[in-house]
Amino acid sequence: MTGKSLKSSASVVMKTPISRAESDRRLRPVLDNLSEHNTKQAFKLVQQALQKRPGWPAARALRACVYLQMRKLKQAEDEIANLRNDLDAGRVPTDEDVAEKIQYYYRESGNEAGTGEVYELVWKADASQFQLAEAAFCYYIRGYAFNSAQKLATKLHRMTSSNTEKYGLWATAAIWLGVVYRNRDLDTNQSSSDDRMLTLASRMLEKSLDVAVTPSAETTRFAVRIHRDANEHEKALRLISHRRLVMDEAEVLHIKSGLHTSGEQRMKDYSALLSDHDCDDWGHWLSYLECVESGEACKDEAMAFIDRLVEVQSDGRVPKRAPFLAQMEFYYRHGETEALGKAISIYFSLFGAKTVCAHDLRPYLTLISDTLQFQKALERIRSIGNEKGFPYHLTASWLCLWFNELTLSPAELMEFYSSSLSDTLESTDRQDGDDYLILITHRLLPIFEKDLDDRYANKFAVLQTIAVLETGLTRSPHNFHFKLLLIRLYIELGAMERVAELWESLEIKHVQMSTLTHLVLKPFFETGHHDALSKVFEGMETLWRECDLEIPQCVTKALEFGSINAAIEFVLFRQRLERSAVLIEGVLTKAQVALVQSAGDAAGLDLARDCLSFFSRFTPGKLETKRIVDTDDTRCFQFWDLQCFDPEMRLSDKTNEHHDEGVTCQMKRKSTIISDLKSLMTLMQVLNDETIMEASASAGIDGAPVNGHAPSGAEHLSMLRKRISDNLQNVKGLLVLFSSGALLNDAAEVPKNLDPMDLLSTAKGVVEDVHHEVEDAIKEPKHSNGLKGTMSPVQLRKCCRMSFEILLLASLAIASFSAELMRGKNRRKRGSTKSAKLHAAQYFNSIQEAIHVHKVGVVSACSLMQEWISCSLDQGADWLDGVCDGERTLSASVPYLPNTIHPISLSDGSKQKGGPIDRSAFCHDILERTRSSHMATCTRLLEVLSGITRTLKLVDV
Amino acid sequence: MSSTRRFTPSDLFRMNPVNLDKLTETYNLNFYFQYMLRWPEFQQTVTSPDGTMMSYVLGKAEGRGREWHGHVSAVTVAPGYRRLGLATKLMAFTESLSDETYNCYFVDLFVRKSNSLAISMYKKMGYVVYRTILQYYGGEEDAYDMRKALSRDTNRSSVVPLGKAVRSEEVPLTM
Repeated sequence: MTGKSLKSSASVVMKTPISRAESDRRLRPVLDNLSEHNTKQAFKLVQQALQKRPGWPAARALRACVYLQMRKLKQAEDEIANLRNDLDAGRVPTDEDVAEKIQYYYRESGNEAGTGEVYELVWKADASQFQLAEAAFCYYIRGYAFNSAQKLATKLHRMTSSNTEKYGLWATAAIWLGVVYRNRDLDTNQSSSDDRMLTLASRMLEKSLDVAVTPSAETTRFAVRIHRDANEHEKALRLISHRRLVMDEAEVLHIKSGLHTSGEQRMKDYSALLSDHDCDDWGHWLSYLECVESGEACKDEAMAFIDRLVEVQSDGRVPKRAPFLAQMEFYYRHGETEALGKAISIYFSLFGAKTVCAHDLRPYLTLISDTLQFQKALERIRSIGNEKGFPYHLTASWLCLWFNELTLSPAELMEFYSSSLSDTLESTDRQDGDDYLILITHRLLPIFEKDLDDRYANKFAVLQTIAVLETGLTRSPHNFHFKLLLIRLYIELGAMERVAELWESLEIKHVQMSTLTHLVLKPFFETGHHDALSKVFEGMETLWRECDLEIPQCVTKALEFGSINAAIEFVLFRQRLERSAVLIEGVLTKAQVALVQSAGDAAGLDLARDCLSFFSRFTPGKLETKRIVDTDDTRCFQFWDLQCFDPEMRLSDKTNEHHDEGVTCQMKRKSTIISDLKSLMTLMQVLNDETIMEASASAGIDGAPVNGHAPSGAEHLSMLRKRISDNLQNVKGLLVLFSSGALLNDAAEVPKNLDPMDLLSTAKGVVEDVHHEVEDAIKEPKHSNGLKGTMSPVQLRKCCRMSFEILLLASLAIASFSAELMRGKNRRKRGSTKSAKLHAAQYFNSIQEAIHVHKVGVVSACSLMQEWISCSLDQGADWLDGVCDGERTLSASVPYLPNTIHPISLSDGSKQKGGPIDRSAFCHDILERTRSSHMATCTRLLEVLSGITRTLKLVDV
Repeated sequence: MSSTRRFTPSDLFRMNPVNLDKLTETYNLNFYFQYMLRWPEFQQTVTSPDGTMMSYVLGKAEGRGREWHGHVSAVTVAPGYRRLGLATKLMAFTESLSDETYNCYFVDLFVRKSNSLAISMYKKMGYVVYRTILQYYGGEEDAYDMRKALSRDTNRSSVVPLGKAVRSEEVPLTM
């Protein structure tokens, strides 16, 4: 489609609306083809429809969708802009059909507010059709256009206030969401203008609810939320005290207690909640204790109250924990450390058999760790543990571990584990003593290191730990803590097949994809396990689709049902999911895999383009860095780090502060994700032949360290990639000028950033960086046995990572240079004057030289790695023998394993094949699996490297 | 030491400690959202002070006439937080809501016939096996439909065992 035909379609005036039947007949096939991604056929059909009905707005909306799918973004935007102009000016009919069709475009381009505008326009043509206005409101909310939503709802409220409260509530919700969304987006605190808006919301709500006979429980909850945020507690109290309100008594009391300004009244409410409803609710206890803290006079009363509940629970058959913990909290808050120490001992004697007891006591022991009471309490705990045995002993051991007081050896811990085993459990159950094996893990791989990588530096200890955890898995085949730890450990040993098996057995799906996949994304990518990754990507894409399609529908339904709270929560949920760093990293990794696999092949590049363009949020101009930075994904997997040591840990929400670098997994730095995204965006735009300067502006990062810290390995690579993308961009710009003939003009000024010498030096610099990375990866770490020619998993992963980086860059370089160079070469031949030819040749030669440097660098780096990996394979990848150094065999190093063990479970993690085997056969099995898995990874990498060099030789630039 | 509160969409990001367990199913987003949308009060979660999810229950009210009842669709506790009475607490909550707010006749739930531990726990809570549903789980395993009468069912007719097994097709589809 040319600009000319677009212009002509925009100028057509069409007054008669097209019937719904005709629309269905002509446009349904277009939609079907669009959903099947049959872009050519969809384009053909839509053109036919427009030939028959020139200027038909619904067809033009679909043509924009086709352009969008073809990645002709400029044409798509022009088409829609023209259409919107015509609709606004009334040159074409404005009906529901066009609104329906245009929503496909806006949904794909991530601008649902646009659909809202069109629906509102259609509604204005017939203001009695409220369903159109409601649809517009829902689209505004879905598109985060809360101002427009509020204005529309207010308008509707004025028109209908005597009949329904609905629109007033909608307007209120839009105001509230506007304030919350703005603050979340900009990471700011509530400003004075926000306060005014919330007051406005509160007033509007009050007005709206006047007409309601009895507010429903859901409406009341929403109203209380608004009034409370607006500091209108009296209004909220009036509502919650409505005599006909149907709501659980405890909930009413809970809401009321949060609204009372008087501490005394609140204390009374909380004590009623605790004594009459649920004495085990820790949230209520904390609020109660805060009230006590605010008024010293209440201290004695509070103490008596706590003592009374403690006494009641002590006499009960199954005592609740919270009153005892409240007692400890009380002692802590009032500085009574001696009493706290005693209370800790009593708590342990009562609840030491519970798994959570250690977690309950840890913060209080931490709080008194520098007092005499600490040693006394710990001593008492230890003695009760020894006296009562399992499971008290297990809890005591955890506490001792956390405070660096665990003296039991792995062998002793294994004895406790063995004695706790039961043969009567279901296969889906865990053995009660499983945690003993995790304790052994922490003994073998101590965690209190400053550098977490040091934890895994001793590969022999890693192997021993694997043997212990695999032993546990034979008795508790579904223990996911074992599996998560094993995944981490096998990654260290490069045994990726076993990682893939364990990952598969965890059955991660749906929303879990957003919180767990970063465990394997990077390791799978770096070791060439692209098939395993493709399954991960599949799950992530399903979640993205759900995020795009299901959540907006739920928002609409919630508003229709009058569940304003639910609508608000869905909006906030979607916002968070969209910002998920893990999901974005997944999309990026998929694009990288596509580029690596393509090795310059056009199909692979298309796949990568699709990958980045699949989600409209990644289209140029829509990249909002802030949205990626502000993700709190890390909070989602905090629980993995069972033993993260946090001396500041307290029993309040403060402990929610995330711990970035957990034991099980280290998440990629957010700055690296942003850097990766930007570099890939730039590269893609260069390849897409789009406005180069625009690409540069939107990418806009430099090579400086992010946030002032020195770049990590991953960040360095991202920056490297960015430099290369800049380089490509400059080359591309130069070639565009070159091929257009501008450079043939002597007077033409070469932009500064296109200086060929700079270009060349950048190319050289990048190649040098690649070489250094490769050399560093191959040199380190040193083997304990001094074995030459073998590669450790660490080296292997570094080499893999570098090889993929190189492949990624090579494929892009090839793709972006070759066609342009051919065109440039032809134009050069046709150059007119001698000086122009010389001028052009100067640039051309520089470009060629840059490419040559790049190519030679890539080939030599790949060859170097190939040589090393081939050598490793020839020698049977026996670094494991080096780790074990012949004498320290695995079975001899873990003599405390049971004498007979079932073999390691296979792919589904649940079925055991064959009978029990002896310990040494079991350890041998682990070694063999690790070795073969490592060799398989080497072979994969070798294949990839061969692919790179083969492609580079084939493509003659 | 725990807090009980409404299960909200954001809690879906925190489900791993519970849902990584083999016996707990993870559904698509729409499933959870429908419950939160239509029966928000029924969805409850118990969290530890650091925000870790310990347990949750998903439920609803459905049926007509004498079949108007509360249904427990899922009740699950993370492995590290078992034997603390959390499931009992959440079940009691669902029963109380069904009884007092929704005025139901009974509460029911489906459980795998092989899950003897759960069955004995429900029996302790006063549930009885009302009927067996054949091949309910993936066309392979039978389920028990267990019920507990609420105060509205004064003569406890809703929990009189049916005496015969029914096929899964005969049971109205529940989410």
